[in-house]
Amino acid sequence: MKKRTLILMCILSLTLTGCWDSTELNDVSIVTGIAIDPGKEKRYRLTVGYVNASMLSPQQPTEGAPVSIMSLEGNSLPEISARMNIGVSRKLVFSHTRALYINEEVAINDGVGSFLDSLERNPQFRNDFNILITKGDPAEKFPTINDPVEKVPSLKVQKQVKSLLEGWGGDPRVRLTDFIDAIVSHGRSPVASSVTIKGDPEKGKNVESNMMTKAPARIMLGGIAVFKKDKLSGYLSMEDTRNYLWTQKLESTMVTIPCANHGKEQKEKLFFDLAITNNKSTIKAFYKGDQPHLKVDIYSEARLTSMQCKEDLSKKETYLDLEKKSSKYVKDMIVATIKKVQNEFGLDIFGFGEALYRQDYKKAKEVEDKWNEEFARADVDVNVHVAIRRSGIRGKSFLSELPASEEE
Amino acid sequence: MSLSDFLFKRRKNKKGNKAPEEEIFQKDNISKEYFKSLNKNKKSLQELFKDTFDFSCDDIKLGESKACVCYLGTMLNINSLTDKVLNVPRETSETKNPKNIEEIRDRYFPTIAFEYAETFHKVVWHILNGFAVIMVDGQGKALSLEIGNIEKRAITEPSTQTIIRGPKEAFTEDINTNISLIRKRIKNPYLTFESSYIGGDTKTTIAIGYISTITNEDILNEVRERIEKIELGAVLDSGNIEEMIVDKSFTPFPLVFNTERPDSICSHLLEGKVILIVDGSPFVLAVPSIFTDFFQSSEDYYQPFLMPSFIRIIRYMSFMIALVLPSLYVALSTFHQELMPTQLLVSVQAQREGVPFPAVIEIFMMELTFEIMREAGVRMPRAVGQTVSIVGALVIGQAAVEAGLVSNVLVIIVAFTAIASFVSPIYSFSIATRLLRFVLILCAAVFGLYGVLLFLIVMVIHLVSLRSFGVPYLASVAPFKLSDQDDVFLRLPAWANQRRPSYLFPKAPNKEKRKQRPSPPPVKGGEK
Repeated sequence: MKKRTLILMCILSLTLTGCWDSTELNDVSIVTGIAIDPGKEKRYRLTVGYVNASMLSPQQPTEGAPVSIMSLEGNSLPEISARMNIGVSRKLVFSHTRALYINEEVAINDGVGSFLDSLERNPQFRNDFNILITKGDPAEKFPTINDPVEKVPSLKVQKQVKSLLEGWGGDPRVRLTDFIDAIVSHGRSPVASSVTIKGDPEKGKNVESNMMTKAPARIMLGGIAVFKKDKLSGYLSMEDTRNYLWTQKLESTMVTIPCANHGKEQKEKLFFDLAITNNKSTIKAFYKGDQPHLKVDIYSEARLTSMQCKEDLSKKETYLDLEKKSSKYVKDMIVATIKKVQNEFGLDIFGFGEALYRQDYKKAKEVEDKWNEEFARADVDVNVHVAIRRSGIRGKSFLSELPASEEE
Repeated sequence: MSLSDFLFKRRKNKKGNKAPEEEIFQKDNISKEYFKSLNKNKKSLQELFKDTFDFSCDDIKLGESKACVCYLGTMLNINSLTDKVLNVPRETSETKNPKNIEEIRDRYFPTIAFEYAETFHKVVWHILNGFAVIMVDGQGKALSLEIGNIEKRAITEPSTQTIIRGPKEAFTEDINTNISLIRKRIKNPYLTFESSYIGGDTKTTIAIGYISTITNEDILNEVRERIEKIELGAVLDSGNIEEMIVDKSFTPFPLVFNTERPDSICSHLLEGKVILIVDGSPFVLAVPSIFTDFFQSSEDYYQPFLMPSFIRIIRYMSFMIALVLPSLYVALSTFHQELMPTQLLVSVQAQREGVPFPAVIEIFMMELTFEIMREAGVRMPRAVGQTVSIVGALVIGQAAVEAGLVSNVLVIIVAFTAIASFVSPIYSFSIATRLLRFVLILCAAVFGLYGVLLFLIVMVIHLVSLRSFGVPYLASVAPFKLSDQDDVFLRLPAWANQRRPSYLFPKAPNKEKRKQRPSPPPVKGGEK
């Protein structure tokens, strides 16, 4: 009897408690991009771009917009997204958000902290979308720019960022938790990528723009945006972003280095290229007396990809010489970038403070409240060793075999 | 600690060899006594078989004595009966009259295999088994002659457990043929077959086979005991016996191994298992059997070991696929959209667009359709079977999708699941996954991945609780034993696999003593 009651209770509990959070796939819309603009009446204006799945079906590609957009104003993100069904038929699912566009005005005036909290709190949001600061146009334009290859704009941007990061290193690889960690950290200032629209966003909105070979509007990645706590304080150029990443974790990049020594024979414009394939960098921060020192050790392995110089690549000395030249060149670049960050922003985006925290805890505790000032006045020492491992599938360049007379 | 202490503490083994023919008609209303008077015997025989057309009782004369040949005409070869028995020379003026039945046999039927029937029960039994029984007036026992075979099916290739490389014989319905197929492979005096008769109405012969120098006594006694306990009206296939001897019947998993391959049965015998052959069934049982037995094909041992090891892993994988794939689809698409990659989710969503049913209903529909088709395919006359597959492929594969009833992904999932469920070499095991799959889909529909996980946990608990003749069903994995791992997930080469599985507690734990990994012969002197 007891057993029977138990079984009955189990079955009842199945029917009573089950299915509460189940939603059929045809009853949800997958949000891929979110844009946050300053609102006119309320605090924010939230724009969501959700996928129109049947337009992406491989079997019957129908003509139509791959994504739809819906904008609403409100004072907080959860409030607006809960009200989205004012204009959207289906329940919105945010777990596949690929890009979060933040209008730079919001980032400068309001700071991003207040809505990042709601994103971090919401279990639907994964930690794998890109945080992008929009320059120029309002953020709500960004999820609408069509691309003929990647039909969903936000997916396009994410893939674009990933490819750039892997190929050249222009994205700081910052996710939500990294960003929030950096906001609360005393030894590091947060950074995020920035994007701009090149062309006319009104034309890019049309699906017909996919018919054109040259897209009327295109989302372009800019350098990184530097934050002071949760407020935007400025931008770095693409080159500087790469150099910044070199001190962090660079997968691969490409550098062009003049053959002749820096400064002396600039008129002779001959270069060689190195593809950096393997990279290891360590960051150190320490005090000598009262003076903070920042030290970066970089070891890079490279592959020679082009050679305009006349040196003979069949000799070992040439490689050693090229290594020396490129090490110095890279070192100068990175030092310049660090100096620039020190002077222009005075914000430690490199994480030297965190390094100090690990290496000299007492000192770090002492200076943690004024670390950014300490960072700004610190001495910078960068050691770079570039090792050229191979030179493509050729040794000597055919250029070196051209008759000398023609050269002159 | 011996296996019996370990497993069968509560049971006591009673030993006793019965002469089965003596007891066989005990429960029927047949008198046991065999009379000296021919007429009396004849009368009671004719009483017993009175309405049967194929029963004959022909009077003959053997010398001076009156005799009578009784047989079932359909159970023996009439031609040889005529040649050997009915045509015996009738010497009327013979000086020496045979005095007793032994002399009669000696004189008239010296070349025919024979048995004596001392009781009336035995006479009836012999007649039923296709003997020609000669009853002589005034003799205390009858002479039963084995005249020769009734028709039986020839040995063919196995139809349910096919392999590419290896012996191609399969068991037939005849128990003697089956035993000979085993004896042909194991030429060992210790290979023993004990027979008994089960089934009040059918009196089916069953044989317990084992190798007495290998098989553990306790397991053997347990098998004997369980067989003795069986009281069934009819035994038509080994499946009837299987249901009566399992440790637990409320389980989807088969606890008794069955095969129609003699080589597979032999390898079980050599591992120390006990086999059960039932007359009339080409499927021979082997006990105790464990979970991993059902993932092993006899071909694994005939191919170089690397590929079979890989294939075994494939089998375990496809078991899991057949079990959980449809429920994973339900769980992911209705509860956990965030777990699918974006691209996949978008394309699944695009295909589900316009499908009127929830994912559970959709998948239940398709799974049921498939089960119906499979059942129809098995039961249909072979000539029509083709039609089923064509109609099925068209209806399910195309029309349903085009009509917008189901999505394309789902067809892929159902088809893949179905194929994966056929991978297990033993059919009775793949049935288990078919059944559990539906429960899993329900769990997934109610609770999502959480339900799937809960069900799998319950399933594992159930599996761990199962025993096959006292041996844990997950043996060598669940009570983990490293030394038994050489033939579970991987098939190690023969030279590395020298021990018999220890969960069977074999009397002789090692197959071979010597280490004999092959290597090329050493290079002879002179070379550098």
